[in-house]
Amino acid sequence: MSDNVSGRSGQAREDTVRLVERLKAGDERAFEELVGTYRERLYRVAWRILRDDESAEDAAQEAFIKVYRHIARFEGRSSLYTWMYRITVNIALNKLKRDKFRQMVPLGDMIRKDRNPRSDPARAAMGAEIVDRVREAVETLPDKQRAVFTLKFYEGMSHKEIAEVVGCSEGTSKANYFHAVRKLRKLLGDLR
Amino acid sequence: MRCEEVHKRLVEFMEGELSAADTAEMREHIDACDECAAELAAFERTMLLLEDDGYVEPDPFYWTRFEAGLRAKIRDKGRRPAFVPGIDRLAPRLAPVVAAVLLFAVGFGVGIQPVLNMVAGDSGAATFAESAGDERDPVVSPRSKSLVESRGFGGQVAEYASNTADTLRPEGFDSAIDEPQMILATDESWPTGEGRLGEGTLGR
Repeated sequence: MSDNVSGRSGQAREDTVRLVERLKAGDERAFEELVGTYRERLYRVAWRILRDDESAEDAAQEAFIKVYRHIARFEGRSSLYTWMYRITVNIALNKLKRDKFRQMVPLGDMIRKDRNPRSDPARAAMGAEIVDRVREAVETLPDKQRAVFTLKFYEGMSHKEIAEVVGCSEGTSKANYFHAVRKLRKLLGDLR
Repeated sequence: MRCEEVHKRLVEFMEGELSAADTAEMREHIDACDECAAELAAFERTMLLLEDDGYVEPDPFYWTRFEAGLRAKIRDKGRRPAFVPGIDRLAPRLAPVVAAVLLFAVGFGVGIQPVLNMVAGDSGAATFAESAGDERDPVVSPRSKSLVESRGFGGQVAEYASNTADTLRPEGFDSAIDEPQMILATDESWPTGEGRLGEGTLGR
């Protein structure tokens, strides 16, 4: 992952330490800065796990609220962005479990998908069939594989970083990713 | 290296996870094997397809709404009364308590009615016995009567009962109202499995 994204460069790390100190001191401007910096990344990772605008918005907002409330517990043992990704991924995976339960009622699921105003025009322009097949294929992945695949393939994280976010070993992260790619290859192999 | 092994390790190969020696060996095999080269191409095509997964960057106006929504959620959560933190998580645990309270209330309502009737006095009793064609004397459980009297419902109860047509019931009905009255008479019926309100779970 690039320094820009992970905050690994010296200056970025110092900025993050100062931001955390201000957050712990209850500085509201610091929270606004945090939201401005991370909102797109948290929303995007939540969307890619949940594949739904509204759920992704809820998950990202909930993640910021948890950060806001529990920043005092953040001790800097991991990087701030890893901690925030971890919170977001956990929220998204929990939502995913709840959604799977709700999908036992097909009508509710249909209503939820129909109210997806922002992504529909883009899907039409891109070729709805391919996008739908990709979405369906990713949705067949087990939750943890889906999270690992999202973080690696779309967010460009290293397996070491993913291991921190998901709470597993680096080897497990790699194994999950390789399994996910092989499965997706099988499912999408017929698409041209 | 055999084709089967190459197929197994194609993802690691694409991701650059193999050692330099293994990578060189894989490359040599793929260059010479059409089948493995086609399989690698299929993997690469899959990865390209996956890039277009339907995600669209939200427009800048969206983030204004996002932040407004976030502020509203923080404000709403901040308004939650301090004595019920995490009520959303506790809701499933509270459901049996609420159900017990409702059952208690319904039981009380059903149970008290005949008791009220029983202390209504002679006129009401006569009315019931006559209209029902029942020749038996109306019976009031001494236990129920004493319970009601001891709780001081007195005149109000009598007045209510006198205005009610169904003032007394035969003995068979009387025993059915004893259990709710026992619940009324003691405080032991409150469910204790999850702890009482304000103790333990909600107090945290």
